Amino acid sequence: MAERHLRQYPSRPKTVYLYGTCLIDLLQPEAGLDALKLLEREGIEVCFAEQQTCCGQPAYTSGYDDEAREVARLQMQAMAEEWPVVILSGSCGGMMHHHYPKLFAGLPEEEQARRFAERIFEFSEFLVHVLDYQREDKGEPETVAVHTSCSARREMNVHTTGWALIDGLSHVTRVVHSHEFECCGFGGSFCVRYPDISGAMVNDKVKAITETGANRLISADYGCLMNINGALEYQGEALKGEHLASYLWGRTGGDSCE
Amino acid sequence: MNDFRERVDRDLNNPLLRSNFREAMNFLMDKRSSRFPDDEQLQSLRDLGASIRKRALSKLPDLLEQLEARLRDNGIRVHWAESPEQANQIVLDIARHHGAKTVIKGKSMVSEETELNEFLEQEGVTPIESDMGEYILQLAEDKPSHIVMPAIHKTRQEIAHLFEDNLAGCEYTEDVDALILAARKELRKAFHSADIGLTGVNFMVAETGTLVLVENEGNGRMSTTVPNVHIAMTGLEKVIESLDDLPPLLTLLTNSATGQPITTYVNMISSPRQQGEDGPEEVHLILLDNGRTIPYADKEMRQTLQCIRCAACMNHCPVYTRLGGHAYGTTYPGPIGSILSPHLLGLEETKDLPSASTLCGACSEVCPVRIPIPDLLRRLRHEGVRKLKSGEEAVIRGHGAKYTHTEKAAWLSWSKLYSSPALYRTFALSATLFRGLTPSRMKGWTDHRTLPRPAKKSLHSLVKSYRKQNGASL
Amino acid sequence: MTTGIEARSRILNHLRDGLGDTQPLSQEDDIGCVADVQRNYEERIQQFSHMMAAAKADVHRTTDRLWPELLEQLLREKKISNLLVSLQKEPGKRLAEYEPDFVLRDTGDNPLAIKDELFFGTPAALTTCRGAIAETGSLVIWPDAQEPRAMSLIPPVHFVLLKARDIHSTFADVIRLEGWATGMPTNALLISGPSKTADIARILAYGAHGPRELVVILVDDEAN
Repeated sequence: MAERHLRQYPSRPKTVYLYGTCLIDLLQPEAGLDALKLLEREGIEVCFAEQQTCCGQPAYTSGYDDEAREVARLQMQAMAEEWPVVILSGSCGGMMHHHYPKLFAGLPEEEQARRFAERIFEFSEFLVHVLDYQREDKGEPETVAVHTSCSARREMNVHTTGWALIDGLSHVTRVVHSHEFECCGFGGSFCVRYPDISGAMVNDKVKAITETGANRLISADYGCLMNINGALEYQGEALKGEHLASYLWGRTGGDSCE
Repeated sequence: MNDFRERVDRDLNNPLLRSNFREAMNFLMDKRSSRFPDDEQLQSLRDLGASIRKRALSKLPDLLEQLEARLRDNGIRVHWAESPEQANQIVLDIARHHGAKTVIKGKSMVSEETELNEFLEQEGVTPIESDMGEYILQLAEDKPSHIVMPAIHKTRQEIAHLFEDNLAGCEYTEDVDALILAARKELRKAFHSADIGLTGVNFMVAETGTLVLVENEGNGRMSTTVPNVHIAMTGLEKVIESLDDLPPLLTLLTNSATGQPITTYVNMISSPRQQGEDGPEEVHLILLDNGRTIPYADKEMRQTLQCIRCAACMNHCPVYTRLGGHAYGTTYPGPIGSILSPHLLGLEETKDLPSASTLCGACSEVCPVRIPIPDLLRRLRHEGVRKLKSGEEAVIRGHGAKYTHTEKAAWLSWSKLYSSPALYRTFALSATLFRGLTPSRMKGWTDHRTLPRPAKKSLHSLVKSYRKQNGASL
Repeated sequence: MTTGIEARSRILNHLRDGLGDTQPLSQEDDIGCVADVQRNYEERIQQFSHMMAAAKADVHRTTDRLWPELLEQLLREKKISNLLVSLQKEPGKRLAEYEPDFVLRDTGDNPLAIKDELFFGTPAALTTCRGAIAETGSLVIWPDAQEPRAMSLIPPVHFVLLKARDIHSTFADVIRLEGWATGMPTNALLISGPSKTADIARILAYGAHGPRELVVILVDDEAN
C-alpha cells in the first residue's frame, strides 16, 4: 500500500548511464557535462546514451498516456544494459522510478519497466547512497539556499541527500527559506495553463529565497530552476540558481566546461 | 463552474483574501505538525487509517446493509437517495409530516452539496445554520470556502459589521468573545423552538448502528438533542466496519484537521430517545449517492471515497492557499474537491479542476488515509482527454470533456519528436543553432518570468566533443 | 417512501456491480498500528489532568469525603447559587445529606419537562460520568433519564464527578474493556473541555453553544 520501504542501494558499480533530461540537454547542458566529469572523477565509467531524449513526463502528466509510452519506450531501449541510470532531476527520476511501472502495467513491457525503475537513481541520491561521495570543499565561504523539487522530495525522498551534499561542503552555510517544502509553481504544463497561479507561487518562492540573503541558490532540478531563475531575472534580482552538479564540481576543484 | 479561470483571476488579485488564506493555512499546518512529532508513528497510523477505509470500501454494499439493519433495530429510519433532489425531498417530506417550520442545522457539507437550504426556503421551511461559521455565511448570503472552517475567508471586521446589521441589539464590536456570545444568544432561541435538527455525520459504525459526529461548538449536540426530530444526512461512503475502527480514525481526523488531539465533543448516536430519556423522538439517516457509486466501480478512483474530510489536503495545497475555496466553484474545494467533484458533477462541469495542480504531492503527503491525490488528478486528466475505444464504457460522466483535436495533434507530434532520436537530433540542433531567434515572449510564462534561451550546444554535442578530446570510454 | 426503496436497490446494485473482482478485506489485512500508550494509575491521572487543562477545563483532585465541600467552595467562588443534579443518584443524595449553602434542584423523572428550566434558569449542573480517557483528556458520558443529555450541554457551567480509577489510557481501551460493541446506549459522549469555536478569524472563544466552563472533580481515594 504505502511506499515507505527504505530503498536498497547497490554497491558501487563500474559503469552508469547518465540521463541528462531534455531541459538540461537544450538549456543548461553544462550541468550535464559537469555531472559526467564528476562521476568520472569518482572512478565511474559514464555512458551518455546517444538516443536519450525525454522521460515522457510532460505527456504523462497531461493525461496522454499513449504518447508518453512511446517516448518512455525509447528511453528504456536506449539504456538497456543493467547499469544504474543516474538522473539529473528528481522529477524525471520520479517519472521513471515510480510511474513507468504504472504506465506499462498490463502491457508486455511491464516487467522491463519494473526492472528499469529499479535502476533509476537521482543524482544526489546516487552520490550519497551509492558512492558515499566525499570531496574537499575548495571554494570561498558563502551561504546557500536550496530548492528541492516536489518529486525529489515526495516521490524520490531525496531532499535529504541534496542537503547532505551541500552540508558536506565545509565552507558553505546552508540556509532554510520560508515554506521551503512548498512547490515553486512550475508543474510542467501547469505554468502555462495557469500562468497567474503559477506566477503567484514562483513570486512567493523568489521572495522567500531572496529574504534569506543567500549568495547562491542551488537545486538538483532544472525545471524548477528555469522557473525560479526566470522570475528572479524578471524581477531584476542578481541571484541566479545553479544546478547542484555544477556547483559541486566547481567547489571541489573541477574546471568549468566553458 | 465553467468560469473557473475568471474566478481564479478575481481571487488571485484580492490581496486581503490572499493574505488571509496564507496566514490561516500556515496556522493550520503548524497546528497539525505540532501534533505529529514522531514521523514513524504518524506513518504507521496513516497506514492503519488507510487500511480501515480500504477494508470498509472492499465490502461497502454489505456494510451498508448491515448498518441499515442495525439502525432499524435501534429505531433509526434509513432513507436512500440517488440524487440531491431525492435527498432534499426526503427532508421536506419529514418536515411536512411533522408540520415543521424551522430546521436548525449542524454543520453538514452534504447539505451544501444538495443545496438543501435554497430548496427548503422555496418550500416555505426555514433552515437556520447553527455552526458559527455557517451562521456567519448564512447571514452574509455566502458559501463555505473551506470544509472544516467554512468562514475562514471572513475577517473579524466583516463579521462585526454583519452582526451589527443583522442581530437585534448587537452593536459593532471586534471582540470575538462578545460576537460569539451574541450569536450564541440568538441561536439558543432558535434551538429552543426548532422543530427539526439536521446534521451531517463523520462516521457510521455498521457493527453497532452508530452515527458519530465530531465537533467543538456543541451545535451538533444541540441539533441532535433538543428538537424532537433529528435528520442526519451523509454520503454513503462514510461507513466503517466496527467500533474498533473508530479511535484511530478519530485521532487522524482531528489531528489532521485542526491539530487537536480530540474535538470537544464526540457524539455517538445509536437510537432515538428511549422511555424516560431526552433527545429526539425520531432519528432519520439519509444516505446519499450523488455520483459516488461511479468512482466506486473503478479500483483506482475508488480511493477517492476513503476520504474522511479532514481538509489537511486543502491546508497544505499551494494552489488552494493562493486561491481560497470559492474559486473552485464547487462544494468541496482544494485537492480532494478536484478529485471528488468530477464524479459528483461530471467532467464537463469540472474539467479545469484536475489540471489546476502542479501535482506537487503536498496533499497526499499529509492525507491521513493515504489517498494518492496526484495520481487521481492525473487519472482524471487522462480520462478528460481520452476518446473511448469502441465498446468501452466510460468510467466517469463527461468523459473526454477536455479533448480537442489541436491538443491531441500537438501531443502526437511531441511524441513523434521525442521517440525518434533522429528527429530529436535535428530539433536540438536547430534549437541551439537558431537560439537567437527564440521569441522573447511566450503566453503566460513571460508575465512573471524571462524566457530561457537554448544553449549554444546541446548536452548531446557537448558530450560528443568532450569524448573526442579526452578519448571516449563509452 | 417508495423513492427510497427504489433508490436503495439501484444504489446497492451499482455498488455490487462496481465491486468487480474486489475481495473483501479483513482486519488481518490491516497494516499499521496505533502507538502503544499504556500508562499506570498515577500517569493516567497526570495525563488526563494535563490534557484537560490544555483544553481549558478545570480539574480538582479531591477525595470522596471532601468533594461536597470542594464543590460548595467552587460554587461560592463562581457565585452560583443553585445546581441542577439528580437526587436519585448517589452524588445527589450525598449533597442532600451534606446540606450545602446552595440550592439543589432535582432533574426529576421527565427530562423533557425541564427543557425551559434548562434553557433559561439553570446556571450549572452536576453529572457523573462512566469514566475518562487519559490520552486525550476526555470524559466518557452515557446520559440517561436522571442525567439527560441536555444537562451536560445547555447550562453554562458543567461540573462532573470522576473517579480516578475510572480513567483509562485510551478510547480504544474503553471500547474494549467495557464491551461497547455488544450494546451502545442511545447516546454516548466524549467531552474534552468546554464548548469552543475558532470560526471568527481563528480566534478561540469558549462557550459557543455548550458550557463555557467544564469543571472536573476528580475523586481519588487511593491518594489517602
